[in-house]
Amino acid sequence: MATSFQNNLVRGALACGFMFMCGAAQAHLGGTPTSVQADGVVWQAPAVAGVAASGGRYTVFTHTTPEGVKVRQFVSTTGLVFAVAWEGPLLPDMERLLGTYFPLYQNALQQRKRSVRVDTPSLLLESGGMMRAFVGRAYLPDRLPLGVYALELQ
Amino acid sequence: MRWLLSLCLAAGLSACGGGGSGSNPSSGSAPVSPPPVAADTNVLPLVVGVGPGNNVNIPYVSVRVCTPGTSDCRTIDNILVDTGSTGLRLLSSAIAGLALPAQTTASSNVTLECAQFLSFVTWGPVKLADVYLGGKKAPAIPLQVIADPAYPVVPSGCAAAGPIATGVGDIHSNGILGIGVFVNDGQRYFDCAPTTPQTRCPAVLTPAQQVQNPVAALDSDNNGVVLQLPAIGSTGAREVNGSLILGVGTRDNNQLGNALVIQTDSRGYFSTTYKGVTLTNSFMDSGSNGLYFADAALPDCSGSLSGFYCPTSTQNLSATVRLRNGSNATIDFSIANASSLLASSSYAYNNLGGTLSDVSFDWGLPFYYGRRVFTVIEGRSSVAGVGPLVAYTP
Repeated sequence: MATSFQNNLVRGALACGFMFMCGAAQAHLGGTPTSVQADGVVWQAPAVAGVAASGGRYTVFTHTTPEGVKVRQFVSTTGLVFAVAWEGPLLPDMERLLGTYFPLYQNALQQRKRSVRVDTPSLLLESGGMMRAFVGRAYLPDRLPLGVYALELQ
Repeated sequence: MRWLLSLCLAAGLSACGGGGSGSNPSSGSAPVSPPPVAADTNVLPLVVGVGPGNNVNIPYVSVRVCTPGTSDCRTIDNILVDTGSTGLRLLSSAIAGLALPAQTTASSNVTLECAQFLSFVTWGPVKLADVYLGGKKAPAIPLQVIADPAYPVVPSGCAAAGPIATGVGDIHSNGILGIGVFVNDGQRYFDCAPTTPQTRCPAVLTPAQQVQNPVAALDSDNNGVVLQLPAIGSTGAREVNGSLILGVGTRDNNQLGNALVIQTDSRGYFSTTYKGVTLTNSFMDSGSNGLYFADAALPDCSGSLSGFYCPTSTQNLSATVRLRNGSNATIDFSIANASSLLASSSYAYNNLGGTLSDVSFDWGLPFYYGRRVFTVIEGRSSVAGVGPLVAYTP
């Protein structure tokens, strides 16, 4: 038991180190173009930048993971990831994708409702679909770039 | 099944009933009951009623599973019929004592699976069994055993994907019979040596090695299913008896009749238009216990029933769906006050609804009462066309 306890300590320390290294790039939703690139490394799904959309108000970066999950990150001209969207046979890595907002999502799951939804002033999240066909999105209502409407964030 | 709500449990109702009856006017446009189906080898009796999870609008069948090639079998009742997922998943406790061989990986480890439902995951080994649906056999197919005590360590990536279902209370059943439009389940698999933490050992499985839709593995009647339920009144019913019929257009008992055909996209989605908004990710799902869609004009229930609609009077509504022949068909439905409904002693309701995101209309079990609803599996031919598709009697 002592041995395994010690192993756990070591593993824990390594995990902290990893998180610390990633700290600067952490965020994803609420993140930066740097975090978008870091996400691509972790997910083995390099971000592909689209052309500027919505009259140049933002750029969409698309990741396609080896599992076939498509994740889109919406980056404003000021470098803020103000929205993310996903679709695929599985849910994406929600913990990383939502970053500091992940606990709100976990809380919504615990409600055990048909509709997984978070509706707060700082986060709107909708997750739906079926096994092999999930779709959803999350955005920061109070940080949308001027002139961007929620409905276009799919 | 995917998205069950702990309706009665959450509401703190002792037996989902005991109170007064819902005082809702009749819903006007309810479909009439299809003629009952005679017993046959491709017919499974289907019951919506008191189930082990004390929830409403959940269709149950019995399934028999056997050690492959032997007569060592268990008949497991209260299996949830789910056209919104793929594959048979059984609680470990429901098959206690039945020796099923594990599906092994190329490196001789037991294949482990994390299956993603919308709001939870199931974790456990993949095992092989002869699965009998009615009188039909799916030989030695991969299924998932949920919460097998031999595999207690859940990889972190799986645990982060949602709460882990481990018992009857989580899935309102002894298992889930996923018989949607897919042949295999396309989920996350793991190839972990017994001594290594089960965190970073993803396994790549061929479609045939994945957990299979048992219907697709039958020797005939294997192109899809028909769910048939009788019509019920607007205050619900305590128990409803219907049929799960294997095959589409393969026998007299599963012909298309006057059913309307909807070709789905490769994900199983089709378009529904409701109040002028086209919802492109719509689907029919026997594992959803309500009609779920977005309508800001319908008041949300309060407290533990939040997420369901509680209009002061029953609302008669309609939506249109896009048929394969290019025309649109109107579907009438009603939404009653969920709080009033659930105060009754019924377990089957055709007018229970709740909220959903604004891209989908989830035609759950309330839609199925008084109808025959067809599902044709991807790539399989039928009298209704090649799947994936769904069809329903108006």
